[in-house]
Amino acid sequence: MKNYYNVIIVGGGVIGTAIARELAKYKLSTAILEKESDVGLKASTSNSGVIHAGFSYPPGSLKAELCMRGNELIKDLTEKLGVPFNKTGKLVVAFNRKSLAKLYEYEKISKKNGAEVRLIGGEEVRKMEPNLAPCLAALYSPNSAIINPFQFITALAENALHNGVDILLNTEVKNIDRKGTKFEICTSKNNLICDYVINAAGLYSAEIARKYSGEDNYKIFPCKGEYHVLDKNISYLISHLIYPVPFINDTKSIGGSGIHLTPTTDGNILIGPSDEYIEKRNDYSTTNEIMDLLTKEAKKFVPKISSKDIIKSYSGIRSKIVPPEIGGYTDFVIEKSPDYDSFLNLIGIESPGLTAAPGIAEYVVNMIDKDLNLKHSESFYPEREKPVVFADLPENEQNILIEKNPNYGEIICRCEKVTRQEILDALNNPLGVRTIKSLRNRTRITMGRCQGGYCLERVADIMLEEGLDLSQITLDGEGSNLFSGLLKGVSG
Amino acid sequence: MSELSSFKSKEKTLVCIKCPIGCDITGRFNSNEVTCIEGALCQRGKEFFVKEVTDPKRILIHHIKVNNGEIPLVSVRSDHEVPQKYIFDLINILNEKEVEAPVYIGDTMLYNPFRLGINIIATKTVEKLK
Amino acid sequence: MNTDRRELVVIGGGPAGMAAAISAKESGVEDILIIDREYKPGGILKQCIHDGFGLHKFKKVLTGPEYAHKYIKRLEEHKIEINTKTLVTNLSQNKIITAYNSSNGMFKVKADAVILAMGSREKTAGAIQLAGTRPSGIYTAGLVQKLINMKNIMVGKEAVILGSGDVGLIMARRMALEGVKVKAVLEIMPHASGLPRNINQCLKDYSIPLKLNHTIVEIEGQKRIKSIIAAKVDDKLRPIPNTKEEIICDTLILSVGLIPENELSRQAGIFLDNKTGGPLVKNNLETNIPGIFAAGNVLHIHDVVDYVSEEASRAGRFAADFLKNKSLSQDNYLSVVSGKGVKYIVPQLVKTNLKQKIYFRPNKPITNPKVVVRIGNEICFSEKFKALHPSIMQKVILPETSKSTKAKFLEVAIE
Repeated sequence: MKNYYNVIIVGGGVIGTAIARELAKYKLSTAILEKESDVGLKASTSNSGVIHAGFSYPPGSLKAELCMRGNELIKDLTEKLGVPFNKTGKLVVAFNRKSLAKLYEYEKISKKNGAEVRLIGGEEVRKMEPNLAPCLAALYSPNSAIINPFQFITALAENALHNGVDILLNTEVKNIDRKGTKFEICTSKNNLICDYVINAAGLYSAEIARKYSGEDNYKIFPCKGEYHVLDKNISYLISHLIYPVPFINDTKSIGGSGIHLTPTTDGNILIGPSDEYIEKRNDYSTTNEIMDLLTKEAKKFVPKISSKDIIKSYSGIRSKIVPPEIGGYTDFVIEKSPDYDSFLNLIGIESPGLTAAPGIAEYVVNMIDKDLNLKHSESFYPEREKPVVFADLPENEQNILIEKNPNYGEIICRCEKVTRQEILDALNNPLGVRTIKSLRNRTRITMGRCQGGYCLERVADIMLEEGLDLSQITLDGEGSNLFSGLLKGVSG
Repeated sequence: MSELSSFKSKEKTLVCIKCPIGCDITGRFNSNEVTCIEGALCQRGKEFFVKEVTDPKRILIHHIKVNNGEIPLVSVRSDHEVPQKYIFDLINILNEKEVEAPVYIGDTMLYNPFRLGINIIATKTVEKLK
Repeated sequence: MNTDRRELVVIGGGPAGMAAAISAKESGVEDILIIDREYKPGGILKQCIHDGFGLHKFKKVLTGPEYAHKYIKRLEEHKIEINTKTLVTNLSQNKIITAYNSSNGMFKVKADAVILAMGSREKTAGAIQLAGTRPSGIYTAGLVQKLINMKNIMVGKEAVILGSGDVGLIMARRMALEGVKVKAVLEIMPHASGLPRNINQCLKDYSIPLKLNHTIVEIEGQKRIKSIIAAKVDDKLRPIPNTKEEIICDTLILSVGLIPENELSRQAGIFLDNKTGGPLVKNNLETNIPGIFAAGNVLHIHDVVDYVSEEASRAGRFAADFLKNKSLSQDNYLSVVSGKGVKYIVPQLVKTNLKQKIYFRPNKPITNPKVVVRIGNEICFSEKFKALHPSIMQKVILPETSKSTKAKFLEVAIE
């Protein structure tokens, strides 16, 4: 770790890490400052994982342009980085006459924006999705896809790190001062100097913009989206993304996606997200009212779904930049700050932020290039080796691995079939984070139907064997200890 | 003063365990007597209540730290019931105790603590760690 | 890879698996393999260090490990083979078992007969849609029991327990003995679901409040749980507004139900009963797949381990019969139907020309009930009881009946 960088990115979510990786292609020193214990712990891993085509946004908007660009780049990117990607296709379903009328309008707008979609009748939908409630018609988008957001953020971060980016976790920005042509950043851990600041701080981006770059025009209105995760036992129920017909604004722009069904690359189904403006930007609680609503809405699509199939619920918080009274469509804000050309603010990066991330990264780097005249680095290595997912391997390959390394023969998480070696690898990740959530996001431990009932104590054993103290076993960093101590005796 | 204290009585409600009906039995008791027993549908229930409030006894269940064993604790119990008021004293003694593996089921861990006429015995076998 | 062939494989070496294997051996099956994922057999009994086990079977009050020991000794005497620290990940319809351990890696076994004895798992916060945040400090009761009793690890200092089933009550006492402040046990129903003995000896003994008709409406805390919000519920179990109460705690323990481990059963294409969560079985505890039997918590959640052993012993005998080709023929089974007042019944298919045991639970506590068994509309058996409680599984022994079976079902009802 140094204390001077060319570029410092505030925020280690999917946007910050995508930008960092893009910057790593040039001869620059870059650091990410992330206040949480790992990258991508907030919106980056509490979304639907959907890769959007971009046709729902007004042509010429940043959302449309960068989402489409991101979409172009993403298939190749996921291959290079070893991230699961699945082109499932999407059905936007109309169950009654009123929504059928809206569906026709949605089709017109989408096609006008360049989408490859087509209308199909109820019968054909039935053949594609036999467990879907009978509908009148649907808009079929064959190019819609899903990605694994956990692997995506981890891969972007690890590849950026591999290419020279420093990732400073548990590091919160406390102050940013202008010092001549540079910035001095005072963090919770150290003082750093840089030429360029990129503010990709998500829910905190408006505050940072206002405090340190003279940007008074924006405020974040946190908007929560709750989700249910369904048991893999019923993953056969759908194979496409299933969406309701969206609300179309007066300006002919398309409103929020509404509560939909998403198959995941791991084989679960997600129900969500909901849509509520909340007071506190760190209120990730789920609520009884919304959880009931999600189940109700899901049953409208697939009657066989019941609350018995839910294994977990979670919520994500969107960074909206207009309050609910105003509502409606707003574009990404990616701008130089009023006070400094070398302080860039990214504010209000909500959906399609995940898809747009690679496009946003290019766009931001272009802005910097105009100022700094960047030089390509010859040593940029674009690939990351796909981590072993033992459970997905055919049996003969499993046997070969076990023969070389008996740690693959010991299954620790029985719901998701995660082996000891995978957990050891995840525990020794290049970012150096060693929490239960960091293991979960890399290996899927505790994400199965028993939610850690079987594996948690075994994982704790492994962490102790690998040198952690009992008091260092946390869910996601300081203050989230799992245990209060040994029952008796001193360890050792 | 001691005469006055013998008039002061406490009230308690217990669920009777003598049969599946599980009557809620309430009564008053002090150091001399048990009175006002209500809720018992049979004599066995009344007797159960009296015993419970005058001289409650329990089997002590706990564990002791094991060194160099396949697991760090050996579960133990008292071989007979002990007066309830001794439970936490016994727990405290057991919390300070450590034994060396192997420990075999039935081994005496603590002999006649507080001269209660009971022993604390191991309820499982913990082999030495290989 | 070579697939070993075995006569009988018992999946699970807990009380059900051990009893089934021993009984099969005693009924003449020579080649038996038990597969268990823990370091030692005994299953869940290893961590149930409290007493109350063995009252029916051994006329003694034993602790869990002591009860298990009786069976482990018999396993050793019979020289029954057991693979420990081995996890079965797959069971196919044609009885091929896939398992993993660190010495052999992955291996497969083709069994002539299988007894499912995998026990149960705990319902989670996610499964009950518990609202609020998800900080650290939320545990299911069985996991806490394992951490405390087997691993010398304490989870917190101030606990709230959700659920008044026996597991929750036992853990309330255990936490109190370990010096943890147990603030309350919350129960959504108007009656406690655990045994009255445990209400006394786990809650009243330690002055732990039991709040009936209560549920948790929210969990609070960012990094570690800092409190729960409890509320009273109405007769439809919905929270009543304005009854919210915050209870400060750093640990929330969930004892909200056990579910039979049915992952392997599903894989094998075994039909499940959605009332019990376990396989549909005939009198002889055989599932719809010939040669695959089930016993213990994997079949339906028991409360007394003695009955688990009894049921599993029968499964062992029936598996032995199957292997000797002496099993019951496939025809003339009646579906067993839960009538008025009955929550569920096992087995779900019966032949009436045999004397047999039927296990059931009432759906609410009732005094002086009469249990009536009908075939079609004719009463074929009835028995009076002093009292029945949902937390105590009951059995009736049906005599063989020669009544004509034009009827398609047998109904057990409580009147």
